[in-house]
Amino acid sequence: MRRGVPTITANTLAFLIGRAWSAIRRNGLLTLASVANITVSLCVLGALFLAAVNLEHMANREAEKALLTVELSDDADHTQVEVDIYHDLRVDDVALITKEESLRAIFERYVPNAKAMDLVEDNPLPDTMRVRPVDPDDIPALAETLGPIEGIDRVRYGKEIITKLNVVSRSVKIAGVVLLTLMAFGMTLIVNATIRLTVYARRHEIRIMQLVGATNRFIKIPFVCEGIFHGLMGGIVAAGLVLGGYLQTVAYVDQHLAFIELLYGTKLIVLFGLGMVVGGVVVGGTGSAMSLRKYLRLT
Amino acid sequence: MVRFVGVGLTYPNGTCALTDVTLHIGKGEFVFVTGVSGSGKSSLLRLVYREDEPSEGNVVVAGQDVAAMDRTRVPFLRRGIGVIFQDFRLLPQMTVFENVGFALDVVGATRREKYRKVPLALELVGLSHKQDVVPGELSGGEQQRVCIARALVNNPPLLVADEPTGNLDPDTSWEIVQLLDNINERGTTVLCATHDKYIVDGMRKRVVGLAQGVVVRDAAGGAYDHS
Repeated sequence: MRRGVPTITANTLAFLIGRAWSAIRRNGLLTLASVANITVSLCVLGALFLAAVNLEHMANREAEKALLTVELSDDADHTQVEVDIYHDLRVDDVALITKEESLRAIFERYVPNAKAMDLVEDNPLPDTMRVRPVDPDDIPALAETLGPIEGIDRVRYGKEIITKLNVVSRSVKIAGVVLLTLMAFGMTLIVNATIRLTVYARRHEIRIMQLVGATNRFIKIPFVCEGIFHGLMGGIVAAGLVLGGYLQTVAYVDQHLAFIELLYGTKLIVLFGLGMVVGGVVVGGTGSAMSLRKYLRLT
Repeated sequence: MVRFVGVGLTYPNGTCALTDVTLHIGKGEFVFVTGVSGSGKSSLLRLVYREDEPSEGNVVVAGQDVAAMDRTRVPFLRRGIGVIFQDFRLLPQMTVFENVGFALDVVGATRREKYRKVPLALELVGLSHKQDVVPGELSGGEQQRVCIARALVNNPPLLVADEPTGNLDPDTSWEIVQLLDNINERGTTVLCATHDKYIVDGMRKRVVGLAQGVVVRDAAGGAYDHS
């Protein structure tokens, strides 16, 4: 019999894409189901992702405000202490606050009459230094290291707040990764089931193609094109919905809850949108290729 | 054209469909495979177009050992074999022309080839005037003709027909068999499974009788029954 080389020419490519397109039109309801499925899954996934990224960001922002306060002994050599503190690579910045400055700050805050400060003859406050760490996670460890330095009496920091924030930040990271993985897995299953339906709806066509001598690759291409198209549509719609919703949220929060700072930027928007579309295409394409395997194995 | 040597076929569920079948079908022959339902007629044909693989023995089609064939070669084997079925297996949403052309599209034919070959095939089966109709609007006999046109449009040297008249009335059945005979006269080898006594007796072709997976008879110019 005729032996052919299984190549695909421009001619056949046009036919294949045409078939994918006519399938999309003919299976209107299934197309809708498949696209809707991908859209909803991507929306949930995307919203979850944005929420996780923002929570992470907020926790980090809070933690960044965290400082160590170092109380100096009366006879401390300020320059030497500062040099010693800077010696630790985890330290970002050190600022000296004299006991007079501390006292003034207290009076400014709690006592309306500025003259009252003159009544304090002997200032009981120590000189302090504010140490800003590079990474807020290091604060407890840094406190341990700074404590024994000569000239330092005490190291203070908001121990509970820092620990809590670190816990929150870590939990958000872990929960985000776990949830996103689970959701992505569930989404692949649902999308797969839908694609399997579209393949099942056309099993007769697949049988006939096999019987008249179509190669497996040839049978696959229109389905994979169809899956990619579904994914592309789903991705675009989902990206539009989620980003639209997110921008609304950002605008609202900006106006009414100004203390919350949400991530916002062209780079984030573009990357996120692209991610959604690419995600849809990958899920749609691989999903249909996988669903077809069962039918093609019949050969 | 087709050679079976000691072929056995046992399905995974343990059913033994064929036992030690040895058979030679020459180029240009017209052979009926007869037997009651479950005697192994369909299984025999399925081995020819490699729908199943033999559990024992060799099946050689057009010089190629079908059993040892790599899976990726199967499509190319099938391009040389036209297959028709009792249930026609046409695509309901396509017109007659598209259904026949589908067999060409699938092997990567050009548009020009398609517009040259499809009308020829439809003319051969006498359906030129119905090319833009969808299968649902055709009678059973006409649908079988479309199926035959689709099987022939690639000019295969071998035509395998599995109960082609199983769903048709006697007169239409006779027309279809006459059509198969015409095709045979043009040089195509025809292998036709049937339990239709009327057409077998009427045609007086070679008859291979199967019973419980064993060849019990092989007679040139035979009738359906021994008697």
